[in-house]
Amino acid sequence: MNDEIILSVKNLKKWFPLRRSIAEVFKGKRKWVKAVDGISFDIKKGEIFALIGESGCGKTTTGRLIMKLEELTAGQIIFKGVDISSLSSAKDIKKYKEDVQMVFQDPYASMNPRFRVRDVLYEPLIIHEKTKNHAEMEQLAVKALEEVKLTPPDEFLDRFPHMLSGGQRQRVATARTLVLSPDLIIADEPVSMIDLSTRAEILHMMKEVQERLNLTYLYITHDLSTARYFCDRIAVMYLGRIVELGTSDEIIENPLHPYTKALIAAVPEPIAGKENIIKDIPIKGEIPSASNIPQGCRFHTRCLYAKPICYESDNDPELEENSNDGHYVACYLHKEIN
Amino acid sequence: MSDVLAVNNLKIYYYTRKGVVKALDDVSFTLKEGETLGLVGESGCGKTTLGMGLLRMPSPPGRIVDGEIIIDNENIVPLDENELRKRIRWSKISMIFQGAMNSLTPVYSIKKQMLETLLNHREMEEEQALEIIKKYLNYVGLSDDVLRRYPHELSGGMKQRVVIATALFLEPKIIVADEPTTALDVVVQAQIINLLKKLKHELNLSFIFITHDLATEAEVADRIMVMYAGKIAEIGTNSQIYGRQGPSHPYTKGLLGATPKLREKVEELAFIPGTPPDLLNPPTGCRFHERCPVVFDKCSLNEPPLREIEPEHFVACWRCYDE
Ligand SMILES: Nc1ncnc2c1ncn2[C@@H]1O[C@H](COP(=O)(O)OP(=O)(O)OP(=O)(O)O)[C@@H](O)[C@H]1O
Ligand SMILES: Nc1ncnc2c1ncn2[C@@H]1O[C@H](COP(=O)(O)OP(=O)(O)OP(=O)(O)O)[C@@H](O)[C@H]1O
Ligand code: SF4
Ligand code: SF4
Ligand SMILES: [Mg+2]
Ligand SMILES: [Mg+2]
Repeated sequence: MNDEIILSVKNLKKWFPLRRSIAEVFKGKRKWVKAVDGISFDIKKGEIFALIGESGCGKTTTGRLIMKLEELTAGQIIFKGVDISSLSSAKDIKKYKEDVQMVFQDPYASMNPRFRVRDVLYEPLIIHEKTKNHAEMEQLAVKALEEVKLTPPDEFLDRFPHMLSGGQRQRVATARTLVLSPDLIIADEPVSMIDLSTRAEILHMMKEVQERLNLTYLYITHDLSTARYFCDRIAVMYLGRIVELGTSDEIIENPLHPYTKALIAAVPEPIAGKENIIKDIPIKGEIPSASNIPQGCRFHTRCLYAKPICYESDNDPELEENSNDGHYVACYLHKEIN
Repeated sequence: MSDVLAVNNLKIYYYTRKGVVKALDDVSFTLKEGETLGLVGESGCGKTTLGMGLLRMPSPPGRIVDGEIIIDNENIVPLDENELRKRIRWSKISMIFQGAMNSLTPVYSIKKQMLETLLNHREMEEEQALEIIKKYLNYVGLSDDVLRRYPHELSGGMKQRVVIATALFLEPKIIVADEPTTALDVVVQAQIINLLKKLKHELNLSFIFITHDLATEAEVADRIMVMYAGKIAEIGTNSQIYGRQGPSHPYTKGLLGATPKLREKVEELAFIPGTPPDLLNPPTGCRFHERCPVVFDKCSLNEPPLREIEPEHFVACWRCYDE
C-alpha cells in the first residue's frame, strides 16, 4: 500500500424524497430520508477500508452512489482524480463500471439457479463487450476461478449454484467481479445466517486475492470483529454520517466516540465466564428514523454524555483529527470524555 | 439441580422424495432447572429440527422415528396431539421460532396477533387475555402502546420482544430460543441477550439457546452442546469450552478458530475446509472424518460414541478417550 488515493468521497449526500400527505403537498413541505448526509473519506490504493454501522445507517446507499447506481444529492466522488459525475459518454461510464465492482457477501442470495458457473462468469464479459470469442471467454473465466482457488476450474465451470457450498458460491461471485480486472471492489455484507466458518473462508480468500492483485476494497459490514482482522481502516457510520474514522486497531483499542464505545461494548466474544453477567451497554433508546433526524449532534438522543451544546447546536459536530494521528472523531465533547 | 428435560436416543428423519434425511440421529442430553443450554453448529446440522422436535412439531415430512423426550418425568413422545396441546406445548415448553420476528402478519395490529395466539391455546375471556398480554409486554420492556401498532412500525428489537412475550404467555418452564439474535444489530443483540438473562433469573426458566455463533453462546450458555451433521460432537460447561484449556472435539476447535475475537488481534482467521455432509447419505464412522485435521484410520470405519471424558464433559471423538 502506498499513499496514492484511489477514491475520494467529499461531503456526499443522498436524500430520498418521502411520500407526503396531501396537506403537506399543499403547504409545500418536503420531507426527506437523509440516507447519507454529508460524508467524506479517502481510500488509498491497495487498502481495505470498512464502513461499519447498524442497519439503515446508509452503508449500502454509499456503495450504490459510488457504483453510480444512484444519483447523488450533493457532494463529489472522485475516482483516480476524476469526478465521476463528470463522466458523460457511455464509453467512460462503462469503463468506470469495469474498474469499480460491487459484490454482495451473501452466498445464498442473488444467484440465478439456472446459470452455470460458466454463464455467471461470461455475463460481465458479454455485457462489457470484452470478447465474443468463446475460447477467450473460457480462458478469462478459468483464470478468475484460479484466483479464487476453485480448482481445477474445469470441475466447476459447468456446475449450477445448488452444486456449490456457500463458500464456493461466494468464490464464484468474487470471480465474477475479477473477470473485468477491477481496481476497486465494494463488498457489501448484510446481517445474515452465514456460518462463521464459511465467512472466515470467504474473507481469507478475499484477502489473498487482494494481496495478489493489489486490489482495493470498500468493505461494508455490521461486524466489528471481522473488520478488525480484515481491514486496514474503519469508518463508523451513524444515521448517515461518519462519527469516527481511524486504523482498525485504533478504533477498537482506543474508541473516541460514544457510539463506537457502545458498539464495541456490545460485541460478544468467545471468552469463558460471562454467562451470568448482565452486560453494560453504554447507549440508550433506539435508533431514530432517517426521516426525522435529531437536531444538533444526531446521536444525542442515545448518548450518555450529551450536554446542551450537543442538542442546542444547529449542526452535527464535524469529523476532526484527534491529535495528528489519523484518528478522526465527530463529537463536541470528545476531549472531555476521553 | 434437577433435570427439567431429558432426551434419550432421539431420532428425527425427513422422509423426502429423494430419500431419508437423517437430520437428528440418536441424540441424548439433559437440561437442568434454571440453566441455559447452548446449541451450536453449522447451518443444516439439525438445530431447528431438534428444537421443533422437542415441542413435537417436526416440520413435514419430518417424523420422530425413535427416542424419548421426558418433561417432568413424563415421556411426551407417545402422547396424542390433544393431550400435547392441553398440557405440554406452550405451557411446559415453548419456542421462539427462527425468524419469527419477520413473520408477524403485516396487516394485523400487534394486539390482534397476540390475542389470537393466546386464545388459540387457552380458552378465556378477551379481557383476561389482554391482562396477560400486557403483563408479559411489560416483562420484556415494552409499553402497552405497542398493542395498537403494526409490525412495520416496530424496530427489529421491539418485534423480537413481542415474539419473546408471546412465548411466555402460558408460563412455560422451558423455552427453546432458535437464533433469537441472529438478524439483529449488535447493540440490539446485546439488549435481547440481557433481557433473556433477566427473564431466566426472574421466572426461573430453562433455555435451549440455538445459534451458529460460538461468541454469542459464550455470553448466554451455562453449558454448550455442539452438533455436527445430526449428531452431538461435544457437550461441556462454559469454562470447559471457552476456558484456557479449550474444547476437545476437533470440530469445536475448528468452529472456535473461525470465530473472530474483537479484543485480540489475530493475523489469520482459521476456517474448516469443506462442507458438512449430505444427510441423505451421511459418511460412515465419524461424520466429521472428511474434514477433520487429525483423522486417522479408525475414524472412517467406526462411529465414536459420546463419552464423558471428565465430569460434565462429553465428547464423541476417537482421539479424546483415555484408553
Ligand atoms: N430507494 C430508497 N428510497 C427511500 N429510502 C431509501 C431507499 N434506499 C434506502 N433508503 C433508506 O435509506 C436509509 C439507509 O439505507 P441503506 O440501505 O443505505 O442502509 P444500510 O446501512 O445498508 O443498512 P443495512 O445494514 O440494513 O443493509 C434507510 O433508512 C433506508 O430505509
Ligand atoms: N422440512 C424439511 N424437509 C426435508 N428436509 C429438511 C426439512 N427441514 C430441514 N431439513 C433438512 O434437515 C437438516 C437439518 O435442518 P435444520 O433446519 O434442523 O438445520 P439447522 O441446524 O437449524 O440449520 P440453520 O442454522 O440453517 O437454521 C438439513 O439437512 C435440512 O436440509
Ligand atoms: S456531541 Fe454530544 S451527543 Fe454527540 S456524541 Fe458527543 S457527547 Fe454525545
Ligand atoms: S473421531 Fe476421528 S475424524 Fe472424528 S473428530 Fe475424532 S479424530 Fe476427527
Ligand atoms: Mg445495506
Ligand atoms: Mg435452524
